[in-house]
Parts: sequence; C-alpha cells; structure tokens
Amino acid sequence: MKLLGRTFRNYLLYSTLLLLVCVPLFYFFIRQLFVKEMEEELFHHKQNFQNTATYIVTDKDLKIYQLLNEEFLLTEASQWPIRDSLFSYKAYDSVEHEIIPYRALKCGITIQDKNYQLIIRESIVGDIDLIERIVIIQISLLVFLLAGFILINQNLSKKIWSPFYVILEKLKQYQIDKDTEIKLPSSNTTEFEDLRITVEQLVSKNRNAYLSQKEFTENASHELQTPLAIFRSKLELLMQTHNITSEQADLISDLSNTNDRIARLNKNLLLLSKIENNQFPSKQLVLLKEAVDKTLSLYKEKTEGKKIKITVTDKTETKVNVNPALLDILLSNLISNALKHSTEESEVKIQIETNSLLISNPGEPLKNPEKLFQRFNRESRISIGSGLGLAIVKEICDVEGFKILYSYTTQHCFQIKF
Amino acid sequence: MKILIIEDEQELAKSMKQYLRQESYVVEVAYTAHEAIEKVLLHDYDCILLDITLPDGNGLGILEKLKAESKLDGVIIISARNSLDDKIKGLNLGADDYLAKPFHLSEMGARISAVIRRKRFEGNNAIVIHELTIDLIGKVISFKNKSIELTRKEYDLLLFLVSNKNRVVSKNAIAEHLSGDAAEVFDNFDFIYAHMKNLKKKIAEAGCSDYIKTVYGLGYKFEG
Repeated sequence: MKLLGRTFRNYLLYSTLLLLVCVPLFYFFIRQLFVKEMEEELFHHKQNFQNTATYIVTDKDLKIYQLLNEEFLLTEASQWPIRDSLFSYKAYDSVEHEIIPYRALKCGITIQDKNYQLIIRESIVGDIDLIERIVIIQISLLVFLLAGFILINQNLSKKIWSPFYVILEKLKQYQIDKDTEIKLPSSNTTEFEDLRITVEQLVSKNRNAYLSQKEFTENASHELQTPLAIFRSKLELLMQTHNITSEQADLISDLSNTNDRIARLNKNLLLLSKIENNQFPSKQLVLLKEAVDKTLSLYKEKTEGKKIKITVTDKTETKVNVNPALLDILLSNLISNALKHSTEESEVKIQIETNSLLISNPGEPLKNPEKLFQRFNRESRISIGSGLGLAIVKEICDVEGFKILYSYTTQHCFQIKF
Repeated sequence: MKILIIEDEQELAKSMKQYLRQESYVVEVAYTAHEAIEKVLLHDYDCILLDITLPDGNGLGILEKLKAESKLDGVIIISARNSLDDKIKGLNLGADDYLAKPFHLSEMGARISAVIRRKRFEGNNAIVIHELTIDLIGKVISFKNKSIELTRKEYDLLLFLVSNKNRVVSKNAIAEHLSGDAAEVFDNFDFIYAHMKNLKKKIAEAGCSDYIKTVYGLGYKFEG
C-alpha cells in the first residue's frame, strides 16, 4: 500500500469514527438546547397570557382569544390548585397532515375569579428531521475534509515528497558492481536531507567493502601464484634426484597432481575476479561457428578418447559482439563441462540459432540445479573440476549482457541468448 | 650459454637456477631491479628471465632500458599477473616470450632453449641429438637422413623432452604443454601414454634406439 493511501485510510477511519460519535452528541446537545429554549418560551407565554387575561372580560372574549391563539388551550379546572408542569406529546396537525411533536406547559390560571386549566403548547422539530440534518451536515463536512486532504496530499506528494521518490528511484537503479557512486539531489526538508546523507554514506561504505573484497580476492590469488610456483619448482627438482623409490615416486606424483589442482583453482579465481573487474573490455564481431570449432579442436582428443559424438548445427551464421578471449573461455567451459559429464559413446549437441546457442548432453538430472552457477558448487567431490567453471560462465554472461538458461528434460541443456 | 634470472623470490630463483644448471647453462641471479640493471649493462646474456613485479620497480622498465641500449638479449617475461595487457606490453617492448606463474620448470626449460635457438642459430635451425635431427623450421624429424612422420602432438612432445634432456619431465608438465588450458578437462593421463606409445613406436620403426625412458610414477626422460 502506498504511503499516501495508508495515511488516507487512517484519516478516513478516524473521520468516520468521529462522525459516528458526533451525530448522537450533536443530536443530544442541540435537542437539549432547543427544549430548554422552548420551555423558557412557554413560561414567557404564560406570563403574557396572564398579562392579557385581564383584558378578557366576557366568555366571548375568551372564545375569540382561543380561536386566535391555537397554542393556548383553556379548559375549566377540574381540580385546584394546578401546579405548573411540563410535558411532551404528539398530535395530528390538520394543516400539514402529519403528526407533530409538541412541548407543553400545564398551569392553572384564574380569569374573572374562575379557575381554568391552561395548556400552552409549542411544536418542536421532529427527531428524525433533526438527525437527518445533522448527518447531512456532518457527511458533507467529511466529504469536503477528505477531498481537501486528497488534493493537498497529491500536491504535497508531488512537491514535498519528490526528493524521497528521487532517492528511491536512484537506489533502485544503483548497481554496486557497475556504478561508482550515487548522486542524490539535496533537499530543504531536514528529514530528506538526513536521508540523503545517510544513504550516500551507506552506499559509499558498501561500495568500499565490495571493492576491498574484490581486491582481496584478486590480491590473494596473485600472492598465491608465487608460492605455488616455488612449490611446483621444488617438486620438479625433487623428481630430478636420484634413487627415488616407487613409493616416493607415487607420493611425488600425488603432490604434483594436488599442486596442479590448487594452481588451476587459483587461476580460475583470478580469472573470475578479472572478469568482475571488467578487465576484458574490448569487443569485436565473432562468427560463433568459428569460435565453437576452434574450441572443439582443443578437446578433440578428449572426445575421441570417450568416443563422444559431437554434432554442430548452424544454419544462421550468427555473429556475436563480444570480447574474443571471454567467448573462448565461455565456450571452452561449457563444452568441457558437457564432455566431462557425458558418459562414453554418448552424443553432445551444439546448436547455433539466431542469437542463441544451445549445448546439450545426456546425463542424470542434477540434485541441486538452482545452485548450478554458484561458486564451488559441485554435485560430487569425485570430479576434478575447480567448481568455478560455470560460475565463470555466468560471470561472463553477466558482463557481456548475455542470458544463460539451464534446463533438463532428458538431457542437460544450456542455452545462451546473445 | 649465459642466463640471467631477475626474480625477487629467492626460493623460486634458487629452483630455477638449480634446474638450469643441470643443462650446463651459466646462471646468474638478480633479486632487485637495481641489481639487474647493473648486470645487464655489464654483461651479455643469451637469455634473461624477467619477473616484471619487482620490489624496486616494474620489470617492464628494465625491458625499456634494454631496448634503449639495443641489448635485446632473448627475454622471457615471468609474471604472476597473467594479464593480457602485460603480455602485449612486454612483447611490444621486445620480449620474446611470456611465462605465467606458476609454471613448470620443464616448460621454462623448453621456452629458454627455443629463445636461445632463435637468437643464436637464426637460419640454420635444427637440433641434432644422437642420430636424430629435429628441423625446427619444417617441424620434421629425421633419423640418418630418413624422415620420420610424426603428428603435431608427437613432434611437440619429442621437442619438449629434448629441450629438457636428461631431466625428468612430469606428466603434468607434458599435459599442460600439449593441451594448454584444455589440460583441465583431462582427468587422466591416458592421452599422454597414447602419444608416447606412438612416438616410441615410430622412432623404433625408423631403427633408432629408444632414448625416451619412462620414470616410474613421475614422467619421462630423454637421455642425451
């Protein structure tokens, strides 16, 4: 939910609650005020009546008076004295054809030494009418309030919140491995200015950490090359010594194989960090088929040894704009991967299509296909690979802007979209 | 034959020196750029092994100095960086070859002998060992003027062993020499045995005695 939506929802909720509480409250207070005023009026009428009553002399006067003043109901008193009392009642109004509520004052009055009971009545506004009005007023108030709120907020979100949205957009676009630093617009609003400074600091800290980590991998790999070279050279010198027993020879051979493995691992790590560090910038158009054939020639012996049949189909003559060295590594890693995991006398298929390359080989499904491109992920520890081959493939695809997909139906299939 | 090793890692320099001495080379070592420049200006070397990352300066500076003095001995650059830029820069400055750390000593031996042969015997480029003649230009070998048909891999293998004659050349070094980066995929050394078998057979068929000895568990040795 959007920030403004959330605020608006809360406002709406609060306003509705306020409305629900206010309507009965208003009703109660207004009603009370009204009735009080009415009662004062009634007593005032009584006073008036008493003052004018002195002018009533005959019964005829009384009759006229009553006809002129409908609200005065004068009857002969059945009991005496009559205490002043207030009461409400409803009666049918012949003019308006509806039942109207009245407030009335009952009191005793003496005219010409005769005791009368006087009821003075005053019609009051109906409850429903009153509530209706209050609700209408309140709802229109609410509507205007919220409409105003939305308008003001929309305006605000455009103006005041704009630095926030700019920062958000910039952060979304920021890529730690590509962009050098993040440039954010400054703002007059303290909070946004704080946000900007904090974000910039955070990004620069992260970037430094990322760089030093990247540098570390590269430096560590570099530094390892020399000790590896020393180790390898000493092993070779050891091989030159005389009277080596077969037991010693086996040990030396094992050491030599292990040393080669470390050297390869280190070489691949170094390669990976070089690709990450964009040290292969130059590009040129390469005919894909040619590059594939070149790579296949490197593995000719391997394929012959395992009696693997390789079929290459190319009907498109697709050319790729790529760093040639990276393309070689990419193809070499994918093809060697396919060869390594193919059983003897199987078939590896390489299909070149318009802007895509498919390499498939038969084999058992993977246990963890989602980890396929992760560093040092290996399905088994038995294979001699460095565990970096496909990570390098992925990195090259990322750097060159290719897309790599892996799927398994009956065969392992890698597809690269250029 | 005089060789200068410019390498700040003393242990590595020691190994290189020891390996090369077995091939009757005269080997000198310089541990710093300063020391190296002194030696280079005073003496002539047949081949210089130059580590380009030195504590007191970039090795490429030494190369520039050599070029300026037109003392372009055979130079092989050694680098832990294995970067294409360094390689191109070095070769453009007149270096003859580039060797990335960690390298096999036998690979180094082969590269040195190739550089020296190129510098010394420009036109007449052939190695004669026992009755075998290796024609480096035509890349063919012959025994008593009778040529032996070898595949490219067999030829490379023989030349690699001969360049390191009388020394054990490990299977790992051969695999890397023959296949380069593709060596990674080979999870066994079967292909070396196959090539070696064919090579030995062809040499034997020509009537030449077997100079290639199998050293149990380690590799092969050409006895010269």
